Order: sequence, then structure tokens, then C-alpha cells
Amino acid sequence: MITGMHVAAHPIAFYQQLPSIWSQTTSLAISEDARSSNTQAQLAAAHFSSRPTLVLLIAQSDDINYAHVDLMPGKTIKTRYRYIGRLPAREYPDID
Amino acid sequence: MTDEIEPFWKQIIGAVLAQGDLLPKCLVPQFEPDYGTGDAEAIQDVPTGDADLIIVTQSCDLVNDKIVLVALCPIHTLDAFEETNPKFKKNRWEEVRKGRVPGLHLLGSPEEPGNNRKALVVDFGQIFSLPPKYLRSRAEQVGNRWRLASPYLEHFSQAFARYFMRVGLPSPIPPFK
Repeated sequence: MITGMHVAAHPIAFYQQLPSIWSQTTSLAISEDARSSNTQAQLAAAHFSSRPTLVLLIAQSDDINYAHVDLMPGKTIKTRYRYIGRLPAREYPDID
Repeated sequence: MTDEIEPFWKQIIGAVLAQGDLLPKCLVPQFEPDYGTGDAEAIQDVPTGDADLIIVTQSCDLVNDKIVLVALCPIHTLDAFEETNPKFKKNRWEEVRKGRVPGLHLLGSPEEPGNNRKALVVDFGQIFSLPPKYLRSRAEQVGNRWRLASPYLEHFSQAFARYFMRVGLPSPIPPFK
């Protein structure tokens, strides 16, 4: 993928939906009980919907990221968030 | 090293967000390549981990509610970064400190600015977008938290801009020997 590439209805980009999704997710995911017991029951109890979004890649060609330029009605994706703990640093590339 | 170093951070409290705010343990979804594919009726699993993040969105956009998503980059201790990138143990931090690694930016420790091993490193190569409502809620939960002070904030912002606008040339001018 290169900078400026238009990715039509790429299903990964559903962040426009996140505010509503997230407000539900955090109340579940923040739970210390869920973390300490490593149970996913609370997260698993939440099912969310999302939909594809038109996205435009704005990152440098080797640093893939995306911005939202439009919303498009699309299929519903039922999503379940599963807490996986602390995210490690990424492996930094040898060449910038 | 000297302990007489101007503090990089100021301590704040509250839900108001600004560029340079450090927000610990924010939840970040990790989408896998097959997200959105397969059975339309099936529930898709999205692994979600937590990370310490620093806001890169401009403060004026945050204050005026001009945005629906806030851009943030991960911020690590040097020890945590070296766990994934052991090659940095071999004195690569000096290159980062001098600004020669465009994707990384060092910030002084909030509590021990004179101790360079306690510095924090921001990775501009990962930019997450999260909703401001979630981040404000997280900021309130954290209580006392850190915000970059001027002029370290502007220096940080400039480094982010420089990273994003960098241009790689197909061929450099040969070095003078």
C-alpha cells in the first residue's frame, strides 16, 4: 500500500463507530476483576456492530495508517473485544 | 549528568485533553488481517490490549471539539522498548537523543529528568485513533497525570511533523571524502 491509496470499504476501519462502541467497551474492559482473573467473560458479554468505512491512507508508504474521509452504509460486523493485556513495543525497523 | 534540568512535564488533573498529554493504560484494539471477512453472521474477535499513549493531535483541535478522533502514539520506558528491540541497548539511544532516528523521540523522565535511563521514548511509527470521550473518561480515572511543558511540547510536536513530512530520495548526493 502506498500513501494516497484509496481503500474502498475496507472493513478494518470502523473507528467512526468507536465512540458508541468504546463507551460500552470501556465500562467492561476497564474492570480490574476482568484483568486480574484473566477472564474474558465480561468482554465476551459485549457484542458490538461496526460497518465498513471508506479510508484514505495518509502515512508514509512504509508506515501504514489511515484517516477517515467518508462513511458508507455497509454490512454489519458483530465484534467482540478480547483483552490481551499489555501491548509490547513494536519491533523497530532497521531503516527509517 | 546533572539533576538541575528543567522539568519536561507538569502535573495536571482533570478531563481536559491537550497535545502532549500522557495517558497510561489506554485500550487499543488490534485488528487482524481477516477482520471483516468470513461469515457475516459470525462474531469477530478483536484482541484489545492496553498501552501508554501520548496525544499528538493539536490542542486547539481538541479544545474546540473539531475532531471526532484523537491521534496518539505509544510511549515506552527504555527498558520496555529494549525488550522488543535489544539492539537499542548498544548505545543507539545517543542517536535518538540527537534526533537522528526520525521515528523515535526521547522525553525526559517526569520524576527524574536528570537520569537519561529513566527517559521515555515515543514511537511515531504507530499512530492510534481513539475517541475523545473515551480518552476524557480515561483521563479522569487516572487522576494526577503528566502533560508536556513548553518548549518540550513544541519540540515534540515539531519532531512528529518532521517524521511525517520526511522524504526519501532515490539517490543521495555522494558524500564528500
